[in-house]
Amino acid sequence: MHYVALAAGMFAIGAAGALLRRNLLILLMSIELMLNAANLVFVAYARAYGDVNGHATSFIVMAIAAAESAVGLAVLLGAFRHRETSSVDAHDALRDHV
Amino acid sequence: MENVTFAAQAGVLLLASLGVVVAKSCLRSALSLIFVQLQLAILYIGLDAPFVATMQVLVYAGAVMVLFVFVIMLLNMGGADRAPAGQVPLLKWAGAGAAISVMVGIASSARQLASPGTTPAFAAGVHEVGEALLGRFLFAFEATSLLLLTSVVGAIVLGLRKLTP
Repeated sequence: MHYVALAAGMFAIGAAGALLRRNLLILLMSIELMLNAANLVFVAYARAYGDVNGHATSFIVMAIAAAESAVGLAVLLGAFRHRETSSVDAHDALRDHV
Repeated sequence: MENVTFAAQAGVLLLASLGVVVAKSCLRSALSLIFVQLQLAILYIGLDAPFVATMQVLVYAGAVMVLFVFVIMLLNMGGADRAPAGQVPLLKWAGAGAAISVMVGIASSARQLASPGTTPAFAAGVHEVGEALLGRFLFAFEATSLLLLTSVVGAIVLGLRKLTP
């Protein structure tokens, strides 16, 4: 089904953005992109099977994504206050400097 | 005709999601993400999912992205105040193209729902999804509301400057 391929492409773009961009906010936005791709797959298969459970699952995934983005943004604010920069590379306290 | 419409909407969606990841400033990235949410809502309308499409616009484009834009404003991460001279017309064309594609997408998707001759494959309005949510998904529903409460409390606690006065 073409929708699944489209969702896979969107997920790949979101994953690439999450791994390659060094800004915390764009990281969070890429995570939202991946969650949206998953939602698209749920709705597409719900229509293919004529099942409303896909829609309900998609709605719950949406609510979870909203909660996660709220907490993620609060963490981002705290991290920004701590390091005065929004770069992911600034938080390397747990890094193994070999 | 259906394939052409879907190919056009898919192309626009992929372009916008590329725009999220590639954008130079966080604000442009957030605007691209709002466009992705709207385009997904249009796709949901075309997939006989009016409830999910409405929730997508209300929750994602209406609440989550507002949070993102607030944080961008608070942390002053807008950036790119002065675009180079050649870039502004391109952005204007891109914005106009985005608006036109949203209009065309809504029109083409809504026409499938509203045409009296064809009945949709199955009914997925508020009533049916509500029955599923409060029937089979009751535990998930209540757990999600508990999760939302926890996340609100957590976000407030994380946002405090000092825990002890």
